[in-house]
Amino acid sequence: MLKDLLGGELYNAIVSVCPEQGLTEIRLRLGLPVAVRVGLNRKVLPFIATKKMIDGVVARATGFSLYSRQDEIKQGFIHYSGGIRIGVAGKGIAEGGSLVGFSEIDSLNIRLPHEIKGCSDRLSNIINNFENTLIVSPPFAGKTTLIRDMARALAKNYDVVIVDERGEIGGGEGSIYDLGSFVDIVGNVPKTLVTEGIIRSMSPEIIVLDELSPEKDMKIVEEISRSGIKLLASVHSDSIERLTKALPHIARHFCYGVLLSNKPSIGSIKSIVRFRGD
Amino acid sequence: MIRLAVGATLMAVAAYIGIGIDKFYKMRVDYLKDFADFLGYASREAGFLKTDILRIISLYCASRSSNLTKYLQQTKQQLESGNAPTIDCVFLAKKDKKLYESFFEGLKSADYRTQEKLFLHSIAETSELIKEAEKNKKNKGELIRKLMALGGVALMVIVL
Repeated sequence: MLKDLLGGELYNAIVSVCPEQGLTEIRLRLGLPVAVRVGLNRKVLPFIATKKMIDGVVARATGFSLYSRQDEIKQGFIHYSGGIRIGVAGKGIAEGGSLVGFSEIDSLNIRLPHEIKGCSDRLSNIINNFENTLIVSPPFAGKTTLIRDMARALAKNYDVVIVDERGEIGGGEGSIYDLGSFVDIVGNVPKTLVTEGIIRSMSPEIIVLDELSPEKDMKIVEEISRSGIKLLASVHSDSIERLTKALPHIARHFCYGVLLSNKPSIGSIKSIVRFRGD
Repeated sequence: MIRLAVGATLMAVAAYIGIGIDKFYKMRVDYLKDFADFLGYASREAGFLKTDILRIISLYCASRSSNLTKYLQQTKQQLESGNAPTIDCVFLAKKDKKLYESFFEGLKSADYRTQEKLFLHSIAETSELIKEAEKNKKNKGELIRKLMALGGVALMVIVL
């Protein structure tokens, strides 16, 4: 899958320096050396990212049809099969106060997902008697990997619906992830557009949301809470205290907060907080 | 007897050449109509479902038996290899090939708004080319077929 995305030449050049298994991120910046992350460690490779290289990756990622991923590109990413997410940056085009696309894409951040089955076993007490749980995590601390495994574990006892806005949890077409037999995935659409329909027609017992935007998504969090459906969600932050100070209303909807860290390693649980006693 | 045989052979050859030329013009019409059919299908897939072109080609070829299937699959392979899309079909005129190639090339970098315009433009251009091809089929293809048939009869008469 990665080879299909990068093209043979670039793929071979990268894996000759770093084996694919350990890769977590590949960065292509126009005119600058290609950089990769192996775990948390950054490595700079001895060749430059060219326009042809970047355009080639974008073309393959979009199926040679830029229009088919317009909405994603407007949000700054392209999802690729297998849960690969490609962040894009470059010269943006704004119209009517919103970003409508990029006239030139100069940088790509290719995030490679990893499945670690059983990484949520440490949270078995929470999973076995599940109440609304918020995974709080800075970038690169393994929250999507954890949420995926939690969804898989929860699906043994509950009907779980995952709103997979960026196609990272379920992996989309060509996915290798085993989420079990009781998971429904609504993919590649903004959470705000589909949650109401899911609540009404999919009869979920648990809804999983990745990467909450507290400003945009609080309404759907409230709606889910009000509906009596349990919620597993994640949000970017490096401190539960800082998060709840900035957004005091967020804790109202969750029973537990789990803070992740990438020290000593990716996926380390720094703390578990009980927000409320019910 | 020999003269009769030679005359009949010449008449048959002339008629056969005439039919072949007529078929050549007819095939151009058929290929262009198949391309128009593909554009209609692709336009709906792209416009409504935002399906990418590789998938559109796969779906179209799986669901239709078309003269163009072989060339569409070649185009898909060319796109996947990062090569410029080209078509090498003897029945298509130079401008037909140019339209085909520029459609796929344009679609690669078309955003959601320009892809609509690209489809509209390509569908309109194909429609014009079909009209021209049908006119050529009638004026040239059929005429040549009839002339070759008559020519064949004339040759037979001359030989006899």
